[in-house]
Amino acid sequence: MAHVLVFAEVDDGALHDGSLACLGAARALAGEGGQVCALLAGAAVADQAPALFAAGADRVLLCEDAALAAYTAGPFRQALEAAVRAADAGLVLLPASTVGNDLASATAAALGAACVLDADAAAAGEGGPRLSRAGFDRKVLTHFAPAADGPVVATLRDGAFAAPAPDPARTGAPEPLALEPAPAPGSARVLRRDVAKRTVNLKDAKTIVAVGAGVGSAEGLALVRALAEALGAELGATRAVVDAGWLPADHQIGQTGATVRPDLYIACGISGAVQHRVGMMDAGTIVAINTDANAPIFRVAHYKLVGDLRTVVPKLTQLLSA
Amino acid sequence: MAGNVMVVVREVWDTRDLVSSPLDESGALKPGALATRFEPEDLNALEAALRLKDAHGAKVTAVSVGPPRDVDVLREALYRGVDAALRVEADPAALDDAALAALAAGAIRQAGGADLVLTGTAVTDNENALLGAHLAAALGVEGVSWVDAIEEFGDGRAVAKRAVEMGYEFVEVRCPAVLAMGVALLEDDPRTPRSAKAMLKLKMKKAEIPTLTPEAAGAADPAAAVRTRIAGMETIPPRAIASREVDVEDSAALKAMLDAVRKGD
Amino acid sequence: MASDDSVKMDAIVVGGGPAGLTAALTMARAGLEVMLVERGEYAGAKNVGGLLYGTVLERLMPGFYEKAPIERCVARRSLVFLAPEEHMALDFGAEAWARPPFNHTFIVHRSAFDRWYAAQAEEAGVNLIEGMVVEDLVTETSGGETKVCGVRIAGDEVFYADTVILADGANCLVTERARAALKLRGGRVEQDFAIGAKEILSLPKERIEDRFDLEDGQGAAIDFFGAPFDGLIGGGFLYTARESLHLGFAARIGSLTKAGLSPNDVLERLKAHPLVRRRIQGAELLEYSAHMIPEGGYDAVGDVSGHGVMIAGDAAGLVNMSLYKEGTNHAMESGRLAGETAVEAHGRKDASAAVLAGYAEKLRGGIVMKDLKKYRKVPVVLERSPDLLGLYPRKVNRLLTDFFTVSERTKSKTQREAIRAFLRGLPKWRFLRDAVRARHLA
Ligand SMILES: Cc1cc2nc3c(=O)[nH]c(=O)nc-3n(C[C@H](O)[C@H](O)[C@H](O)COP(=O)(O)OP(=O)(O)OC[C@H]3O[C@@H](n4cnc5c(N)ncnc54)[C@H](O)[C@@H]3O)c2cc1C
Ligand SMILES: Cc1cc2nc3c(=O)[nH]c(=O)nc-3n(C[C@H](O)[C@H](O)[C@H](O)COP(=O)(O)OP(=O)(O)OC[C@H]3O[C@@H](n4cnc5c(N)ncnc54)[C@H](O)[C@@H]3O)c2cc1C
Ligand SMILES: Nc1ncnc2c1ncn2[C@@H]1O[C@H](COP(=O)(O)O)[C@@H](O)[C@H]1O
Repeated sequence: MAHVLVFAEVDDGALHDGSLACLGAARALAGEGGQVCALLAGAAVADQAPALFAAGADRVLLCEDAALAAYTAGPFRQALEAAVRAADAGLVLLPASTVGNDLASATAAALGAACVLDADAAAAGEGGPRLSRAGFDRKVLTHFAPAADGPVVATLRDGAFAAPAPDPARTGAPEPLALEPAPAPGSARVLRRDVAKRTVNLKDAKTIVAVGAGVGSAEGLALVRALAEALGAELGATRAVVDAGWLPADHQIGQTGATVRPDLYIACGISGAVQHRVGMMDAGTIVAINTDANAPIFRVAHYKLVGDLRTVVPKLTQLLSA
Repeated sequence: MAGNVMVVVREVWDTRDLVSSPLDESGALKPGALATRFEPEDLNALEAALRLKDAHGAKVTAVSVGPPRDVDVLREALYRGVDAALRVEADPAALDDAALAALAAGAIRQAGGADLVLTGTAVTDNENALLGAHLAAALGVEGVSWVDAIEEFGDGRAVAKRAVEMGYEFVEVRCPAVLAMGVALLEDDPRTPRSAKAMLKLKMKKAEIPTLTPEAAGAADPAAAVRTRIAGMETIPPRAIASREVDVEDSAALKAMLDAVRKGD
Repeated sequence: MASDDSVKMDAIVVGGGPAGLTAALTMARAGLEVMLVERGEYAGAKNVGGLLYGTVLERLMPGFYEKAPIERCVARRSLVFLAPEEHMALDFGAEAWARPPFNHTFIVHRSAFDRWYAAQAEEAGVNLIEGMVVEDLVTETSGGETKVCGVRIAGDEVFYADTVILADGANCLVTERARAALKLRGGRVEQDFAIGAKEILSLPKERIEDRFDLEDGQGAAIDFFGAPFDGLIGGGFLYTARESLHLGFAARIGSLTKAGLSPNDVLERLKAHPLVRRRIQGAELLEYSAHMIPEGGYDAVGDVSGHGVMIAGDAAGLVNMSLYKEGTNHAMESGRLAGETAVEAHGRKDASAAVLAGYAEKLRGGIVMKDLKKYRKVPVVLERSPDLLGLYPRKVNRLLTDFFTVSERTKSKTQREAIRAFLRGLPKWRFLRDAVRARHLA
C-alpha cells in the first residue's frame, strides 16, 4: 500500500476528532511499507503537531500562512495538493465534516482523482484502496474503487473509525510546506461569518434527550427540557428544530450535526429521517416517543412509546422524581 | 444586470420509504425495485435560479445528462419557468460525478457559458457537492458548496450564504462561478420551490428540447472521464433490534422501563 | 393573471379516468380544442380496477386490444361461495371468449391502461395536463342563472371554456362544488359508497397458467362470496393478470364501520381462507390500493348537466354494482355521450342548460341508465336481506359437502341428515322472502 495523507482539521484551536480517527484508519491502511503523513494547515497551528505524531503520524507537513486563517476552498486546496505531492500519497483521508467534504471534493476535482465522501468503511484492495458507503436508506453497502491509477480522496464518516489512543512515545519534528505561489486574492472571499459558539457537549454525553418538530413549539420544548434535567441529560435536536430557531445549531444531531453514541438516547417527536438516524443509531439504548406508530424512528428504537409527547414526557419526568 | 444562469439538474433514485434492500442475491439492483425522482436539492437550485430570473431578469437554462426515466427533469424545469433546456445524450447510470460534470460543462460551454452555474447537493444517498466541485474544476472557475441562498447577484459578482457547522458564512465570488445549493427546507419554508404552472405545461409539453451528443459536449467517450467506479454492492442485513412497545398509559410499565434504561439494559 | 395570458378552450375535462379520457377523445376527434386536467402524476397513477368491459372502446377504436396494454382476456369466470372451511364453485367459460373480440372482457392494470388511453387521447389532439389539481369551477351569474365558464387550477390559474366536463371520479370534490353552485338536484336517494381495496401480487406467468388452468394470454375472473365477508355488504374478486394476481374486495362503508373492520382486516380475512391462500401461494405483494365506489345505483343519480357543465362516470354515480361490477365501461359510455353533446353544443354555439340536457336524455335512452335501472333494487335488497350474502351461501355449501361426506352411514341417512342440517336454523319465512327478493340481483 502506498503512503496515506491525512488532513488535520483544526477548529477553534482544537483538532477535529474526525482527523484523529482518520489517522487510525490511515495506520491500518498504510500497512508495513506505507507512511502515514498528516497535513497541518492554518495561520498558527504548529502546536497541534505533537498530538498528530502521538496519534500515529510518521510525518507532519506544516503549512502556515495568513491565507489559511479561515477556511476557504482555494488556498486550502492548494495546500492539500502540495501535500499530496510532498507525501507521494496514494490515499488522502479527511473527516466527513463540512470543511472535509468541501475540501475533498474540490481537491479530487482539481487532481482528477477518485473520490468517495462519507465512507463508512475503508480497506486496502488489489487495485488501490476500497472505500464503502452505506446508501439506499442505509440498506445497501456500495464499494467503490478508483477507475484509473492516481490518488484516491475520501472522507470518513464520524464514528466509522475510532481515534487511536495517543502514544506519547511517538514524537517528531514537523516539516514546513510552503504555500506557493501565494494564493490568488479575491476570487472568492468570506465577507462575514455568523457562527454560534458551542454550548453543549453532545459527543461525550452519556444520556441525550433529543427533540424533533413534534414538540410543536418553543413551549413544548420546556417539557422535554425538564425531562433532560431530571435525567441529567444533554439536550439534542433535529435539524427541523434548529431551522425553526427553537434551539441553536450546536444541538443538532445527524448528518450535518453531531454524531453521538450515548448509552441512552430518548427521541421525542422525531420522525427518524435517515439524515437524523445516521447521527444517533449507534446509541446503546434508544427510546422513541412518537404519535405515529409507523414513524421510521421506531425501526431503530429499543423501546417504542406510541403517544403524545405532551403527556408522555411529563409523565416520565414525574416518574423519575417519584 | 440580466445575466445568464445555468442550472444542472438530475434524476435520481427515490430511496425514501424503502422497506427492504433493492438488491437481488447477486448484488445487482432489482429491476423495478426503485422509482426515480427529481433530485430534491436540484429543485432548490432550480428555484434559486428562477428567483434570479424574477429579481434580475436573468436568463435561466436547465441542463441535464441522459434520457428521462420516470421523471423528465428538463420538462419539469420548463414547467416551472426556465427559459431553455438542454440535454446531453449519455447514459448517466454508468457515470460518476466527474464524468457527468465533464459532459454538463461541455454543454454549458457550447451554449455560450454562464455567469452562474447552479446545481444541488446530492442528498439521496449521502450528502455531497461533488458534482458542483467537478463542474467548477471542469469550467475552471470558483465553486462554493452548501449554499443556502444567493444574497446578491450583479456587476460580475455574487454573494452566497453558505451553511457551515454552527452557522453561516457569506462568501463573495466573481462570476463566472459554480454554486452547489444545499438547503434543508422545513415544510412551509418560504424558500420552498414553486410548483409547475398549468399554463407552462400547456405550452411546453411538446416543446422540442435540444440535445447534444457527447462529442458535441466535448467528451466523445464519457466513460473515459469516470474516476470512481462502483466495485460492488451488498445488502446490509437489517439491524436486529429487540424492540419492546411500552404502553404509555401504564405508569408501572413506564417506570420499569426507566429503571431498566438507567441501569443500561 | 394578465389577460393576454388567459386561455379559452372549447372544452375542459376534469379528471383523466376512463370517463374523462373518453369525453376528451370524442371531442378532440370532432375538432374541438380540448384540455384535460388530471391531478395524478400521470393518468391512471392512482386508479383502481381490474376488469375492463370494452364494448364502448371497441366502437371508438375497433380492435383496440391489439395495441392496448391488456394483461389477459377473460376466458373463464367463476362464482365461489366460501364457508370458513368449505367452498362451492360455479365455474364457466366459452371457447369463443378466447377469440376476438374476447367477449369484450379484459384484465388490465389500470395504471398502464389509463396511461396508454391518455396517449391515444393526446394523439387525437387533447391537451393533457397532468400533475395539476382543479380546485374549483369558474362561474358567472347573470339574470339569476349561474353558468360554468372555466376552471381554477391550484396555484390560482384560471382557464376558460364553453363547456366543462366533470369526470373527477368517486371522490368528486369539484362535482360537489358544481352541484352546490348550480343548484343541481341530487338523486332520489343519497349516494352510498363502498370501499374497494385491492392488492397486486406478483406470480410467474407459467405458475399462473398452471394454477388456474389457462392457456397463454387467457385469464380467469373469480368472484367470492360468503365467510370472509360475514356481516358486510360486499364480496371479493381475484383476476389473473399476465404475471400477477389482482385480489381484492368491495364492501359498503357503512357495513365496514358497523363491523369495526378496516379494509386491511377484510383483505387479511380473505387471504386467510384456505382456498384463496392456495390460489395466491408464493405470490409477492407488489402494490396495494383502495378507492371509493359509488354504489347507490339508479336512484342515487341526480342531475348530470347544467349550464356549461356535464358530469360523467363515477362522479355521476354510474357504476353498476351487481355481479357485473361495471364501472369503467359505463364511465366510458357516459364520457362519450357527454363529449358528443359538447360537440353539438359547440356546433350550435350554445352550451346552455337546455342544450346540455341532451346528455341526460342520451344517457337515459342508452345502456348505462337502462342497466342501472334493471339493478335499481340491488342496494336495498342487499341492505335488507343480508343473509343472501352470508347465511344462505354457507348453508348451501354445507348441504353439498354433507351430501358428499363419506361415512359408514347409509346414503339415505347421510342425505337426510344433510337436509336436516341445512334446514336447522334456516328462517323459513325470511328465506322465502329473500329468495323472492334475490331475483333483483340476477
Ligand atoms: C442535506 C440534508 C441534511 C440534513 N441533515 C440533518 C441532520 O444533520 N440532522 C437532522 O436531524 N436532520 C437533517 N436533515 C433533515 C431531515 O431530513 C429531516 O427533515 C429532519 O430530521 C426531520 O426532523 P424531525 O424528525 O424533527 O421532524 P419531522 O420529520 O417533521 O417529524 C416530527 C415527528 O413528530 C411526531 N409528532 C408530532 N406531534 C407529536 C406529539 N405531540 N407527540 C409525539 N410525537 C409527535 C410526528 O409523528 C413526526 O414523526 C437533513 C436534510 C437534508 C436534505
Ligand atoms: C377495488 C376496485 C375494483 C374495481 N373493479 C372494477 C372492475 O373490475 N371493473 C369495472 O368496470 N370497474 C371496476 N371498478 C370501478 C372503476 O374503477 C370505476 O368505475 C372507474 O374507474 C370510473 O372511471 P371515472 O373516469 O369515472 O373515474 P376515475 O377512474 O376514478 O378517474 C377520475 C380521475 O379524476 C382525477 N381527479 C379527481 N379530482 C380531480 C381534480 N380536482 N383535478 C384533477 N383531476 C382530478 C383523479 O385523479 C382520477 O384520475 C373498481 C373500483 C375499485 C375501487
Ligand atoms: N434514476 C437514475 N437513472 C439512471 N441513473 C441513475 C439514476 N439514479 C442514479 N443513477 C446513477 O447510477 C449510478 C449509481 O447510483 P447511486 O448508487 O445511487 O450513486 C450513479 O452514476 C448515478 O448517477
